[in-house]
Amino acid sequence: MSETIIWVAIVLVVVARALKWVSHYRDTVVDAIWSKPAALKLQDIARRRHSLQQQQRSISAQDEYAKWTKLNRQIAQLDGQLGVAQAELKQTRQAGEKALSRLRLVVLTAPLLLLRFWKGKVSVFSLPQGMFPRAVETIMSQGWAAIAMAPARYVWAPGPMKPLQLETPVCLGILIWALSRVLDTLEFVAASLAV
Amino acid sequence: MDLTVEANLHDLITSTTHKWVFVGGKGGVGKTTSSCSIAIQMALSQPTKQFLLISTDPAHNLSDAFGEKFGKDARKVTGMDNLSCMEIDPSAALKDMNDMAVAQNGSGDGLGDLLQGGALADITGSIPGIDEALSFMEVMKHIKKQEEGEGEKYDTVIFDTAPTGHTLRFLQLPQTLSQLLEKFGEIAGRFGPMLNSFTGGAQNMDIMGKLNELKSNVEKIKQQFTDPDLTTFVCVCISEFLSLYETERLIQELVSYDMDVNSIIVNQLLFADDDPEVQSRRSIARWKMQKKYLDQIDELYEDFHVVKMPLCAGEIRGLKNLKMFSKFLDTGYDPKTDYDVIYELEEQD
Repeated sequence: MSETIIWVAIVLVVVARALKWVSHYRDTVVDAIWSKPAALKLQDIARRRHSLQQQQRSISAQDEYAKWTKLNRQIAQLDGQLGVAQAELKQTRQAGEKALSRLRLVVLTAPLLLLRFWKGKVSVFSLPQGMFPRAVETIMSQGWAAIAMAPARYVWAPGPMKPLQLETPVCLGILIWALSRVLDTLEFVAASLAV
Repeated sequence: MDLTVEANLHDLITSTTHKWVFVGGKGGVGKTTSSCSIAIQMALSQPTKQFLLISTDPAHNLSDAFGEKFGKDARKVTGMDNLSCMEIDPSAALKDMNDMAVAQNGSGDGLGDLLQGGALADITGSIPGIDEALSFMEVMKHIKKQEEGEGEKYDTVIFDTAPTGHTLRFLQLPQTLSQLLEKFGEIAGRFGPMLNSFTGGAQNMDIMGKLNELKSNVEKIKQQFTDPDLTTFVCVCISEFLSLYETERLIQELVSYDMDVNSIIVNQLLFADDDPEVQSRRSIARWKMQKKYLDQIDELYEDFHVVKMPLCAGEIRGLKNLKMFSKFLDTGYDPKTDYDVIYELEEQD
C-alpha cells in the first residue's frame, strides 16, 4: 500500500513538472480540445483573407478598378469577420484554460497536497542513524513540520530527544520535496546548457 | 418587380420626405455645382416648399456659383421664391462667441480684457475640426428654430459639404458627441451639484440641464441622419481613379455610419463619341479613359442612381446656367440630343 502511495506521489510530481515544461504548448492543447471549431474558423478566414490579398496585389487598381474594389470590399468584410472570430476564440480559449487549470488542480495539485498532509510521514526508506545531525534526521523522518512543531514538543517533553530506533526513516513529504529540488536543478542545468 | 435603377435623381428631386440632403466628394469634382443643381431642381419641382442650401465648406463657393453674395444668415436666391442659401462662416461664429463671452464677463477684470482682443476666437479657431463642429451647431440651431417656429421654416436642407475628410468628420460628430455626452453625463451625475456650485450660483448655470438638452438634440440629429426617408447622401466624382477611390471610401464610411447613400453624380464627362465638336486626339483619349472608369462605376454601383453629367464649354455660374444644367439631374443627359446645351451655357455669359 505504502509503495503504491510513493509511486503515485512520484508520478504526480513528475507529471506536474512535465506539464510546466510544455506550458508553451498550452494554447495548442486548449485549441485542440476546447476551441478547435473557433480556431479552425479563424484559420479559414485568415487563409481566405491572405488569398484575396494576393489576388488584389496581382492586379492593377487603375486597370481593373472594379475587380480591385470588389476584392477590397471582400477583404474589409473578412476583416470584420476576423475581429469577431478572434474575439470568439479568445473567449473559448479563456474558458478552455480555466477548465484546464481546474483539471490540473483536481488531478495533480490537490492530490499532491493531500498526500503531503495525510501521508507525509509514511516512511519511504531508512538510513542508518547518526549519518546526519540530529535536527536533520528529525526533519527527514518527520518532515518540515517537525521544525515548526519543535517548540511545542520541547514544552511537552523537555530535554534532548532520545533516539527511538536504530535507523532514520525518510518520510514521503521529504521525498516529494527532494524530488522537486532535483528536478529544479536538472531544469536549471538543462536551461543553462541550452543557452 | 422592376429592379432597374434610373440614371437620374428624379426620385430625390421629387421626394417629399427628405429633410437633409448631403452632397460630397473629393475636392474639385463639382460638389458646389451639383448641390446648387439639386437644390434648384428640388425647389422647381416642389414650389410650395421651402429649401435651404447651406455651404459647410470653409472655402465657400455658393456666392460664386449663383453670382450673388450670401452670408451667415439665410437669404433667398434672386429669382427663386423657395430657395435660400447661407454660408457658415466659422470665423464670424467664433467672433460672436467671443463677444458673448465678453458681454457675460464684462470688462475691467483680467479675463474680460483678454477676451476683448478676441482671444477666445483665436484659441478656438485653431482647434482641429472646429469648422465641422460649427456646422453641426448650425444644424442644431436650425432644428431648434424649426421646433420653436422661429424664422423661416425650411422643408429640406441641402448641404454643400467640404471635401471628403471634413465631411466624414462632420457626420461622425453626432456619434462622437453622443458618446462624449454619455460619459460626461455619468461624471456630471456624480459631481453635478458640486459642478453647479463651482460654476456659480451667481450665474445660475444648470450644467446638467444644459447637458441633457444638448444630448437630446444630438440624439435627435443622429436618428434623423440615419433615417433613409429623411436623409440621403449624394456622392459627386469625376471619372478618374483617385476620385473613384475616394468615392468608394466615402460610401463605405457612410454605410458604416448607417447613412443612406444611393446616388452618384459623375461630372465632367466628354461624351466624345456623340459630340462632333469634340474630336481632338486629346479629347478622344481622355474620353476613352473616362469610359473605362464609367464601365467600372456601372459594374460596382449597379444598385445606385449613377448620373452622368457632361463637361460644359464654359463655367456653370448664375441661376440661368444652373437651371439649364441641373435639369439633366432630373431627366438624365442624352449626349445625342442634349449636347447643344453645353455650348449654350458658354454663350450666355
